[in-house]
Amino acid sequence: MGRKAYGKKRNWNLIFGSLILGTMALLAVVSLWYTPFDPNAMNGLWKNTAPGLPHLLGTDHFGRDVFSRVMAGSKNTLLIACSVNLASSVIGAAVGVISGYFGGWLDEILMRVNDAVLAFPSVLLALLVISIFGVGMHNLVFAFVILFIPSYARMMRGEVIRMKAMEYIGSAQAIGMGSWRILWKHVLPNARGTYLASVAIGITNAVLAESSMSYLGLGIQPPTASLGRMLAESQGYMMRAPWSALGPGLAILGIALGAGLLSEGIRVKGQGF
Amino acid sequence: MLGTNVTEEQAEAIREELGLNDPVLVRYGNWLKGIVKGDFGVSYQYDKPVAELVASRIPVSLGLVALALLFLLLISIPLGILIGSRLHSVWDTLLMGITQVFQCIPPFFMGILLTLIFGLWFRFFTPGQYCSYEDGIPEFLQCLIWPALAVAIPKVAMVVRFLRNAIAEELDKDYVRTAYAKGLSGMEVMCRHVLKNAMIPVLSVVGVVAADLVAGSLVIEQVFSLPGIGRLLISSISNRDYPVVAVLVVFIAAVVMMTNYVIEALYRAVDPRIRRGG
Repeated sequence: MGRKAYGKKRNWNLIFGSLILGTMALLAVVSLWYTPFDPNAMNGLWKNTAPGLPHLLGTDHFGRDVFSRVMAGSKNTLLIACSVNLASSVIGAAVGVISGYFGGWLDEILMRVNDAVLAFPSVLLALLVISIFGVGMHNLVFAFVILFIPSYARMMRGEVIRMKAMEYIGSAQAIGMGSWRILWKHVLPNARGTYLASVAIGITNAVLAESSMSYLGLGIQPPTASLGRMLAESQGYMMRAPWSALGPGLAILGIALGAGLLSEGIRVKGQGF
Repeated sequence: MLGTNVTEEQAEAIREELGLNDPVLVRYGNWLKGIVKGDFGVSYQYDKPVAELVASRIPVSLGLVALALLFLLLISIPLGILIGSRLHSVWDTLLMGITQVFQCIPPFFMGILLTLIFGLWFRFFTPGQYCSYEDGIPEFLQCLIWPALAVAIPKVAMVVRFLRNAIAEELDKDYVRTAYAKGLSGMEVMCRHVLKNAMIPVLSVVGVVAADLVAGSLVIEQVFSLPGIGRLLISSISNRDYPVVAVLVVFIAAVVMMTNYVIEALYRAVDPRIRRGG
């Protein structure tokens, strides 16, 4: 499609995606041992100070260091996003592979349930789950895991059905390989690229959904630092301290964008460009 | 409901009055019976019938979603056509970059950014201002413009990218060359042939996006302090006002299902192949 004929095109999506997400992840990991200030320590003398030294991103209305809080908040957000996607992608992939490979009535049932869950946007379903089970971080993670399973299941099912039509699977069956061995040796390794790309986009979705829920006060509870919660708190002080809104907002954008670019990059790479 | 200084007897009396001592199934049965008869229960926190409470807030959310959908279509279709027919041009590269970033901005942050930039710095509108729909529809809609934009923009980015790819794919097909060979202008080919075909995959995305708009609107009401369904739901969840939560959950689920149904119907109307079941 109009690409230049010479050389290999740089995969900028992959490069920028890894860089941005890597930076955010680094900040998050470092925050486990070190933050410039205690993220929850209040300081009455330094309320709403502009970015500069020693407070890189300024301070909020309690005099807490925005940069430290962004670091700690990113850690919580990434932790939730990764654990949710790890759990839901493994369960979803299993459901999808079994459903796609064996087909029949099992496939029919699993996919109808899938469709029902997929018809609702994740924030909406999370709101519904939270309104039934109550507010809290564990409930939120639980809700997201359930909500993220169907899209993985559908993606893996599509991959498996596409692969089943290919000759090498037929050949494997012809030499007498068992179903599970074929799944493990041939189907799963070939679905790796698609799987990784979906996990990356899943992280984008989880970050956006988690921050929305925390913004509404239904996710991570104070005083634990959370990017969404910080945005909600900063809203009353937007005129005097816009940095306390921009810091966490840009952090959310960074994680989501980094994971999104990475997903695009992995997808393009898998197509052999 | 009773405050903090409550005796055990008073609490027990309230529980009995509200029917909280009945078994779960009995309560569910009573609730269902009420719904069928049009009685949706009474809110704990406002002491008003739930139906009245919800009904007074529906127009706000409805207006917001409708306006957001309007913006979505008005902005994304021209942009999608613009870059879809000029692949790898400067416009394409620029817009693909911008939309990549914009689709990663959660609606509530978009709302905060709009408030900060256009409300506080440029003073195009007053943050936190709300005009009731009872005071006049034009003013009401004017107050909803910025919230609707905040919900729509991230989704516009998504739809533009999708439309671009759909149009680019259609432009490669033989019937486009035939149309040009017949002597149609570029504009005519686009409107009469390409767009019709490219809209089919886009419609399915708009279906998903429409449900997202509903979800985004629930959140954005909190950002702009609009008294709609979303704020009612969130305050009810926080205050454990279960009769309201139950009705809203059912209501929102019904709205999303209806949206899906409408999209499905549109899908059939646009694509004759699906209508004939082939």
